[in-house]
Amino acid sequence: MRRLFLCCLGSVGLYVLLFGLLLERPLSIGLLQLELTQKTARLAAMPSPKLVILAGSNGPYSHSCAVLGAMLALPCENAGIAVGIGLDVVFAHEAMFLRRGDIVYMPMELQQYAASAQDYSAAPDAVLLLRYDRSLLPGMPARRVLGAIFCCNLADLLESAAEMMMSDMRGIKPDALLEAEYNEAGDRIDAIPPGSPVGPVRLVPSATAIKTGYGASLIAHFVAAETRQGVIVIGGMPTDFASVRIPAPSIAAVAAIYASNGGGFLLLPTHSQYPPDNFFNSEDHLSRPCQAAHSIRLGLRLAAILSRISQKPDPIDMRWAASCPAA
Amino acid sequence: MFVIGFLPVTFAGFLWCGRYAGRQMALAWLFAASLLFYAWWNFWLLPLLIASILVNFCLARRLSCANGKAWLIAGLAFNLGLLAYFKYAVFLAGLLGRPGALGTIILPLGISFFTFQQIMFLVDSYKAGSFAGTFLEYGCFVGFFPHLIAGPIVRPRDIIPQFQSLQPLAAWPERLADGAELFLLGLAKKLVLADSLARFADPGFAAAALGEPLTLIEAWVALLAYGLQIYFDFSGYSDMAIGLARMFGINFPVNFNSPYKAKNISEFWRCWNITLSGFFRDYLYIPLGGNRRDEWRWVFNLMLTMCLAGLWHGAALRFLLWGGLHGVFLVIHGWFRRSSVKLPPGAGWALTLSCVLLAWVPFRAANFAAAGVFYAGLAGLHGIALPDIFIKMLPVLTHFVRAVPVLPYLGDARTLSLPQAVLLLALGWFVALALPASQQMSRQRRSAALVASFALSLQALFFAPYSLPFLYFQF
Repeated sequence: MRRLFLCCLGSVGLYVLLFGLLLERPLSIGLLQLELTQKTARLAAMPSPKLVILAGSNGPYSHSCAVLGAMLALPCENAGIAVGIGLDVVFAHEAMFLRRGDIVYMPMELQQYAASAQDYSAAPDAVLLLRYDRSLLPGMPARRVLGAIFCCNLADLLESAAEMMMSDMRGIKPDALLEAEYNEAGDRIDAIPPGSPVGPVRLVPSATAIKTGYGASLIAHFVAAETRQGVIVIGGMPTDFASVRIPAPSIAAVAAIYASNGGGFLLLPTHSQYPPDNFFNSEDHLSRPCQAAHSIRLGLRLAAILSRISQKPDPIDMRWAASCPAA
Repeated sequence: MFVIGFLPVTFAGFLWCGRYAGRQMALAWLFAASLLFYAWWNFWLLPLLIASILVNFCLARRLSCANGKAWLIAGLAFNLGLLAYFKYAVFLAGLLGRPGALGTIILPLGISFFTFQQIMFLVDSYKAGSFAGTFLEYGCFVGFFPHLIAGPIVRPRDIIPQFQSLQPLAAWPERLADGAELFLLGLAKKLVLADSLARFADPGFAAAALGEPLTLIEAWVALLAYGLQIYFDFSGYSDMAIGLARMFGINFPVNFNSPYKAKNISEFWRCWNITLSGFFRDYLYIPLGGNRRDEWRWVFNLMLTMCLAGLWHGAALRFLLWGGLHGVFLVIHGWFRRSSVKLPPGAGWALTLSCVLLAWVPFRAANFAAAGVFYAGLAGLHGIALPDIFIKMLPVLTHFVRAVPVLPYLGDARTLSLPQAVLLLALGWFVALALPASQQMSRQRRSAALVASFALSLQALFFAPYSLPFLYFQF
């Protein structure tokens, strides 16, 4: 029995050593970590008041800080990265750089609200927490900490081996990869049509799922905390296919999370829904022309809400927007 | 729930009963826990299991009467009738051109296993002339939870005496450690290896079901992954069952003995699902006459046995084809063995493995059309494609390989899916071909396997976003 126990203990030790200290995933997790570091660094260096877009990958793909910043005459950082990165991690990194008068626009993907605490304990960002962000773990719930410690499976181990090998063989430089994908404002700039075929449409969470989700409670907490310190937080809808029926109660549930915590909510007449040919490779990712078109619509509404005079977008962005099929 | 709830409570209760209430009470506890285990899946089918056990127990008591043979026939008819109704009635109605005539019939979990178990018992009891055991001993023999729903199919003469002489407290710490070790190794085979391989097997077969043109690499990755998935899934379950039984002081026979190392197809069947193969050999093939009669009768006996073994896995013609293919392989091997031609061992192994793998296609495919699409992919009829990143690394490939952004039916359809698949398949085939079967491992090797796998099992058990059921639960 003692041998069995020691073997099990040894196994856990080896696992933590491998995934926590030795194995890298330079082409996936490492890239996300670098993106987070770069975006956080830019945010830290940015003067206030500034505009910050917070969401999953819907943020950088479907929204352009270059357009919005120019229209509102504000420095802007598109701080969204990927929906798989937990909001607790995102907020922990971004919140410390928000100041009174800053504006945060949050077109969060609907599944971010509905995510359960259990989802968070098996979240894809667990490996990121264990490998690069261990300092955040002490402040997190026990289940999330355990989820981070047991973040990875055999596939992750093999993926690490494959990524480390490929990265070495091809001499891939993560900075160069990111540079080809993002502009200086953190917007995705490589979603040039034609994109890959779009996958199956996912289910829209119900109003109850949105109201009771663990993700919703994290967002509510963030909105309340930031508005208390004078940050203007405005919620919004993520982009989606026009064919997807998002029930009014679901939209109302999202709006209520912001409104009841001191924030605002912006609903475009389009509900941020567009024909499928406006998208690049998923319903969260507009193609670059439509990213510009959507951002111009959004800029006009944000200017009105913030009582700012809207500036004309850059002519290049106007040309991008003009080539969007729905524009 | 099973690992942290049911198992510890059942084991503790078993020891407590053994210490304070005696062997009979410990057996009663074990039987009750097994029924609860079964009812957990579907409470409304528990009466079926209990009725089946009761009827067979009563029938066994009658086998020593003057008209014992008639009772045996009645028993066989009862068991086979039950199996036929629940497992094959809808299939037969479909074959007779009346699909849907019987509506939906729920297939009770483990019915194929507990029915065969009891057929064995009736036949053996009839041959022995009597059965002197108690109802509890019989109930535990059939219903003992480690083997109730997916085997192994154990012989009454091997197991019932163990329940009759069971000493719940004898060397229980050693038993527990030994059984738990085997259980954990089996759990790792299932959760760490089989479930990881499913990510590469499932997309290929799903694409074939939709008639999508699978390219050569996608098809071979899916097939090599499925061959390993089903092996690790079922041999993992068998190890878990043997380990669980050992914790309670019962020794189950070995069910898998490195079958993919077999040098011929007969050897494969002596190493794959050994207890089921043994059942078909001893209770069907040999009673039919085996190879003791003329050549064509032998071919007939073998083909019938293998076709029925195929159908046992599921009520579908593709399972019949799978069994039939193995029947043909066995017949050809029988003829070959009698000829003067001898294959080198390596060639025999490669041929056997190729035949077994190719026969998995109809077994796993959704239907014959899907199997056809899959075979076309394996033959390269839909071409060879590779993600362009790899073609850029080896430009010589451009002459015979089509460049694509990603292979859509390989794993998660990402650029890195291919190297991941190669590494996983290399690991899986190394374990299947180069390492001994878990029960033949030395203590050191078992310890090493446990160190390598335990934390990954823990992760899959408690922190994976989803889990896959055991493949053999559906049979």
